[in-house]
Formats: sequence, C-alpha cells, structure tokens
Amino acid sequence: MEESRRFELQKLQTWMQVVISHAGGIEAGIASDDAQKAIPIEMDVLDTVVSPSKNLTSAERLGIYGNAYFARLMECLRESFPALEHALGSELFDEFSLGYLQRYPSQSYSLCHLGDQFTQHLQETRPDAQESLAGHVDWPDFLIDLASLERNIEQVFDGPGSEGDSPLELSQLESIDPDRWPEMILHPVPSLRLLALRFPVNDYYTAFRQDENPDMPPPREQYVALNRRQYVVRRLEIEPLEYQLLEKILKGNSIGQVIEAVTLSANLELAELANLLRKWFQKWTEAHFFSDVTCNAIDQP
Amino acid sequence: MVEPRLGHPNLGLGVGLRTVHFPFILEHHPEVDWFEIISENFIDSQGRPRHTLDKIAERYPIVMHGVSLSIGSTDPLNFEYLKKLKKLAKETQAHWISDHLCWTGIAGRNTHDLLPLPLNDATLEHVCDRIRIVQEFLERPLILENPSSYVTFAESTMAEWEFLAEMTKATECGLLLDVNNVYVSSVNHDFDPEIYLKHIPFDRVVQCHLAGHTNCGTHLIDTHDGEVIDPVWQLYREVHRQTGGISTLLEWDAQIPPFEKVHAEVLKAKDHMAEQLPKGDAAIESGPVDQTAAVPHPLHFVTPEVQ
Repeated sequence: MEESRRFELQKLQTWMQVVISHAGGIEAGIASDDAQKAIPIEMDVLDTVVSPSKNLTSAERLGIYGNAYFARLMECLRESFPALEHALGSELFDEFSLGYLQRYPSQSYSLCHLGDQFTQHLQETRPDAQESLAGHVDWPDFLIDLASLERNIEQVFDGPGSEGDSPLELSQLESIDPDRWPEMILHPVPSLRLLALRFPVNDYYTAFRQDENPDMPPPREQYVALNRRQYVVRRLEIEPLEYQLLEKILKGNSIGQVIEAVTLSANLELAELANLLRKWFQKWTEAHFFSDVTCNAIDQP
Repeated sequence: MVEPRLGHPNLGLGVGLRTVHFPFILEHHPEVDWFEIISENFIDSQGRPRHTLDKIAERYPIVMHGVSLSIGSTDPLNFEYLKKLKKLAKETQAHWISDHLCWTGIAGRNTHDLLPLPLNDATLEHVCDRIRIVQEFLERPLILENPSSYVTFAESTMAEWEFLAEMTKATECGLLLDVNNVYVSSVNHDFDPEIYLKHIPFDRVVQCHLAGHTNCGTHLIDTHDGEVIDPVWQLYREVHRQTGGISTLLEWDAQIPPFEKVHAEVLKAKDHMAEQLPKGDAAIESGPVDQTAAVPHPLHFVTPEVQ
C-alpha cells in the first residue's frame, strides 16, 4: 500500500475514533481539535466522508457508533463493579464511568482489563485529595475501597490459581519442630491477595449480594484475604496482626523474620505470638493459603 | 481448484459458548455438534472460564472467533495477542480461527466495536498485506467475517461482496458468512441481500453465522438478542444450497435464554436445509424499538464467581 494512501486511512480511522468516542456526541466530536486535525470538516459537508442512507443522515449513521461506544463500555463497568454501582446509584456511577472512560480509554484486546485503573481513577479524582493525604477518612475512601475489593475479586477469579495442586496441610506444619519455625518459609498460592480497607466494604459487599440494600457504613478498618478454591473466589476477614504477618510472608520472609518484625511493632510477647500463630496456621491451611513450606537450613545446600 | 470450505469439515450445527451456559453444558453434555468461543474471553484466562473450556474441548469440536484482531487498522499488528491466539488454538485443537473484516481502534486504543472500512483498492491492499502476515504467523488460513455495519464511506469504490471476493482471492483466506449481518447491512445500506450472496465465492466459505437483531425503524442493529427472523433464514437456505452444507453457528449474546432455547434455535436450520418450513410460526421483524436501548454486538463479559 502506498504510504500516502495508508496515511489517508490512518487519518480516517483517527477521525472516526475521535468522533464516536467523544463524550459530547458526534457533532462535538467532529468540531473537536483532534478530529479537525485528522479531517478538517464541518457538519454540513459530513456526507463527503460518511455517506447518508435512504433513511438516515450521515450524522445519524455515525451516531449509532457514538451511542454504542459508551453504552457498551459502561455496561461492562456495571458488570465489573455492581456493588459500587449500588453504593453510588446508577446515575452517579454512569457519571464516574464516563469520566473514567475518557481518561483511561481501553488499550487492551480484552474487556476483562477495562476496569483495571478504575480504583486509581477514583483516587485521582476524589474531591478532597489533600485531606486524604493528611490521613482523613471520608466517603470517597469508602468508594475507593469498594472498587478495590471488586476489582481484586475479578482479578483473582480469572488470574493464576492452584487448582489441581495439593495445598499445604496443617499436619505438614505440625511435623516441623517448633524450634525450627523461624527457618520456615511458607509458599503462598498464586491467587492469595490481602486487602487493608478503611471501611468494612467486605461486609457491605456481602449485604449487597444478599439483596439487603445496604447503606454506606461508618468507617472501620477491615482486613480481608482473597483466595480462590475450586475456581470460586473466597473472602476471609482477617485480624490486623494477621494481616501484618501474612503481608510479610507474601514478601518471602521466613517466619523468624516475620516474628521479629511483628513483635517489635506490635509490642507482643513471643509466647503470645506463638499461640496466635498456631491458631492461624490452622485457619490458613484450612483456607488453602499456602502450597508448601520449606526450611532454609535444611533446603539450602 | 479450491477445496470446498478450504478443506475444513462441515461441523454441523453449533452454538456460541457463553459463560451463563457453563453449568448446564458440564452437567448435561447436550448433543450439540460444536462450540464457537470468543477468543478474547479465554486467551488470558487462568480460572474457571479456561478450565471449563478445556473440559468442553474434550467432548466437542471447538472453533475460535475473535473480536480484537483489528485486521483493518493502521496500527501495528499485536503479535503478543497473535501468539496467545495460536497457543490457545493448539491447546484446544481449534478447527479454525476467525475474526471480522473491520478495525477496532487506532493509536493503541480499542473501541471494542467492529468498525467498518472504506472499501477501495487501497484498503484492500492494506488488509491483504496484514492477512498474509497473520496467516504466516498463525500457520493457517485466517477466516474473516462480514460485519454488520451502520455507515458507508464516500471513499468506497466497491461493494462489500466485491471486496470480500477480491480479498479471499488475493490471500487465500476463508470467509465466515454471517447471513444476519448481510441482512442487517442490506437494510442499513439499501442493497439487495440476494445480490450480495450471488457474488460470494462459496468455495471459500468455511462457516456461517446466524443471529437475531433489533429493528430501530430506520435501521437495524446487530444485537444478537433474539430469534433469527424469516428473511435471514431465507438467506441461509441459499447459502446451504450454494455450499452443499456448511458449519453453522448461532450467536446469542444479550438477554441470553436457557441453553435449550438457544440450541433449539440453531436446530431450526435442519428444516431450512430440507427446504421445509420450520415447525411453529416464522419469526418476523418485530416493531421498532428505541435505538438507544440497542447495543450492537460485541458485548462479552465474564462475571466472577465469588463467595
């Protein structure tokens, strides 16, 4: 293809994409700088680019693609963030979605990635960004946390998992001499994710799914572990200290390193922590958080 | 001489695989001849969708149908995407890989719509160049579908059927002939769908699509949300006559009914193949609806399972 003709097609495609994805509609899209740069054309001569049909003008025909562009993508966002839509109400959710799609248009071949930056977008556009930086917790944090929970659920659902592999059993941990616990490294399953939330959005999400029509709750820190078993995402509320431990374990620290860091920061007696660890080892293995355990001193040559 | 269907088998009457039907299919193993998957819903999946596909592929022939190849775009081809298509096709033993004669975005963006091209010699050359690259990469002929469209361009110098015929001749790619799209575009662009079919090189047609659409009064929108209407079945009869039998697939993507109803809809093709009127009333074009409520295909999304 001659370069000049390829350039012509490129200009037409640039123009059409700008026009049909303009939030102000076709007419505003045609008048926009980006469209004018590609094809400088006015509405009254639109038929020199797009032909009319017997029943529709060129603008009406182009409008079919314009209507579909936002409708299709907003429908996908509604499917991705149903609890957030409930919290915001449909009208406000659509407003947020429209802003998001303009700021972060899809760049993926798959609609599965459409909502990837939605939480980030809410954070960037929150009305009280300065207050948030000062540690103030308010309703925008509720929306951000809820969006984060829903996004993570979707990613865990279709991301890497460990179905088909045997999970770590409690008996494997119990067979290790407690004196050697500090050397232990627990290997998490790939689907395990931890969330530290400023509002109890996990409870809100549960109530929403049970059609309880929940209202926005008052702020309360909530810690959640997401995992997938048998291809279903499981949500498990965890304690703040448990979150701290798991976070460090997920970074590859040995149990000894984890205990050292946590006892320092939480001002906890070692014996007390050992008891908690016993309880949590049982909980974590039942929830299939780990695939294996290794002990540094044994396994390293 | 070209082998009919490019040498591909006639797989019979298939159904587009949709996630809402996963539990039914796995439990009941319905007697469907084959399934077509939306490639993009599976190429990255490491969860339930892919696991289910693997189980279904053990029992049924699979065909891959994509919506993001963007063969007509002036953006560079996405080889990472092509690599994933090739891998999935190998793993599921997909009979063929199809997509649409369209572009989906430019400047790195994806509108997730099947946008039409100006149909002229320059575009033909551009599309053919890219088809050859894709075919070489995938090591198999690409199968391209005629999309439903809602605009035509002043720069077009040839009819869609002419473009398709030239394209297959130049590249030896195959065609996925969607008779609903032929009908939708014929109403939207004021042409006779029978003339369209008269110019199709049927020895290149590997597969046929059937679907429902929405009547907006002044135009039709390809919504894949209902029964196939009678004028579309009439076109299907002609395709069957011309091909002597072709892999036929029903797409139902919005307001998706239970699996049995979707399957029953494609099985109506048997009566049409036998040139008989199907049992029950023929579906006719419904009254016009508000355009803003109708969103054209594609709209594919996988809802997560969570407890």
